[in-house]
Amino acid sequence: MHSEHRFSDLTESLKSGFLLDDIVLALARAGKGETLDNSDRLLLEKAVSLLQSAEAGYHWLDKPELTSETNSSATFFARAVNAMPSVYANEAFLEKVSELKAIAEELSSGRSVPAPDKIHQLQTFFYNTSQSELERTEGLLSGEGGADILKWTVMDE
Amino acid sequence: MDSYGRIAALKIETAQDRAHALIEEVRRVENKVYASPGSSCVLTFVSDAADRIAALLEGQKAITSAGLLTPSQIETRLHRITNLIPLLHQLLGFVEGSDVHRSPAQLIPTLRRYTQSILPGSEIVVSSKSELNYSIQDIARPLADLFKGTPLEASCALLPDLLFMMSIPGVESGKVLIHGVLSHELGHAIYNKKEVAKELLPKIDFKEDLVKGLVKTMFENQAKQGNPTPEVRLRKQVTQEITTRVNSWIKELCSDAIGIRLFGPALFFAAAHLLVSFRPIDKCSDTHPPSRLRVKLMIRMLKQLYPVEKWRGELQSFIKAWDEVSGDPVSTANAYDQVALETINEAALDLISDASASATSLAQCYSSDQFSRDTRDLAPLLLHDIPPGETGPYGHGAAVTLASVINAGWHVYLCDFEAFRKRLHSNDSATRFTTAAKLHELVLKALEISGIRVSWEEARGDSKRGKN
Repeated sequence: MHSEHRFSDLTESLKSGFLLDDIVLALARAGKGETLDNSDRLLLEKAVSLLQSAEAGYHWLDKPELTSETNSSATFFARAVNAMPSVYANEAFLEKVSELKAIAEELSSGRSVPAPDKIHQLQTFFYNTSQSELERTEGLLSGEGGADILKWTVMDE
Repeated sequence: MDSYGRIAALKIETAQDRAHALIEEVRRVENKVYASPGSSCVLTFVSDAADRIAALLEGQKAITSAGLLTPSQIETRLHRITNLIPLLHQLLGFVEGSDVHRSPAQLIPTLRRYTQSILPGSEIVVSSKSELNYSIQDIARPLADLFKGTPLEASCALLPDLLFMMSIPGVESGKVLIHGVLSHELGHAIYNKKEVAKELLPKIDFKEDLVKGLVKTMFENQAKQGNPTPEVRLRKQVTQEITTRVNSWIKELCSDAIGIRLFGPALFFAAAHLLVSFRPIDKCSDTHPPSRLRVKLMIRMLKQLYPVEKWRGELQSFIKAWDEVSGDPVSTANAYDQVALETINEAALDLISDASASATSLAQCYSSDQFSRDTRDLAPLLLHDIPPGETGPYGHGAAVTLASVINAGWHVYLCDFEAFRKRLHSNDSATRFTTAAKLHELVLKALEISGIRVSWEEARGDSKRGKN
């Protein structure tokens, strides 16, 4: 059965997964006390952007407007919620994201090095997110979800 | 080497074997005769990318042995890379069915030229598939985006800027009139390439009260339950359901609108025939709007762009029936669909129609005058068993465009089917199916003639410029 997703959904999922894997690797280096090079710092800047995107996705309901960024921020908000299985309340979520963002910002700026447990916390978050993205990729490869091609006729919806 | 290290090494080795198997498969199929050069581009890409994936995996050995990542982190990282292999399998799957024996070879040169005129630098691959579905997707840009800055970036240089993989149902590959729906799919490509969403989406007026009302009701209902969904998860669900729907529905509708501008009534006729046959009119999903809404938009546009009231009675009654049906409210299954429907109101449909006009140039658009000419000049030729592939005086003829041939074909199908049937040999007119097959054959032949005519003109032009 030909899968019902758009090819670009799959490539986007893979791209996002590769980025998350590289962020996890950069954080592993930081956690082991290695000096971060420019490419690692760039990755951590992207980590900050992703966390900002999760915050934007969270706030969408407060002021529902559409932009070309709406989908990606809603998606990363969902990924972030999934990556924090023990967080249930809105305030706790925002607090946690803000905390993670501060750690990522500190690392990317290179001004100081956060405590190892903080780095580990950030690494766990991004690892959980990367696993969730891997599941999405595998779902798309097996033809589940993300249906986006023309369905003039629907076979199995 | 510890146990996890051995497993990682095995994963790398087996993935490399699979990459090699892909290279072998490309060698096996590359000598088939394909209807479009795009197929060979894909095969070359797959072979090159498979080779680079094998090297990329080799490079992971240093990371796995560095002791930086936990075994589960290594596993996730390796699986991500090995997932590139089934991606390459999908690419081979796209090419399957695109050889000259299986794809509608008469249609391809004309469709290829048409696509290149709309989207310069593009290439197409048309495959006949066993599924009852029509689709067209660009694979070149997503691949370039995925591999940018990686060792596989060089493989993407083997692909054109845009490479559209079109698939049509194999058993219907000869039913060329239905292929009018491909203009909707070209609409998708234009929507992405022209970044229509960037301009259009912020103009859509989201009913804040509606969304907040839905959230309030959901929270209240949840609170009454013994084991309510945690609030942040409910928020996530509502956000995702609504944003996905509204974004995707607008994209689909705008692709319909662009398709109407490119192909005119032919898209509506093709869509209506597919929709009425196979899908309940109010059925929708998070990615696709209900057919009733799509029909509503297409009819609104046809009424704006064409003098529908002056069309032949058969066409008028066809449009009228659909107009009445699309005017009735959509019965929605859930609250998310309702929010999307109320957001995509009359004003939003106007914005979508306007956005489709900005995304297409006048030269690319089919027009009311052209439709009048085609029904006046080309449809009678079809009625007399003459494929209208070129028109004009002998020696000075010009190729007829794809949209013109298909619109003329639909005109005969909807207005003069019985007259067409009466003129056929009794073997061909025995049933409605055999008559329709004959009409499709004529339309395909017209497209083939049109393709030959354009090729001839191109060859003559090249010869005049001193090319071989």
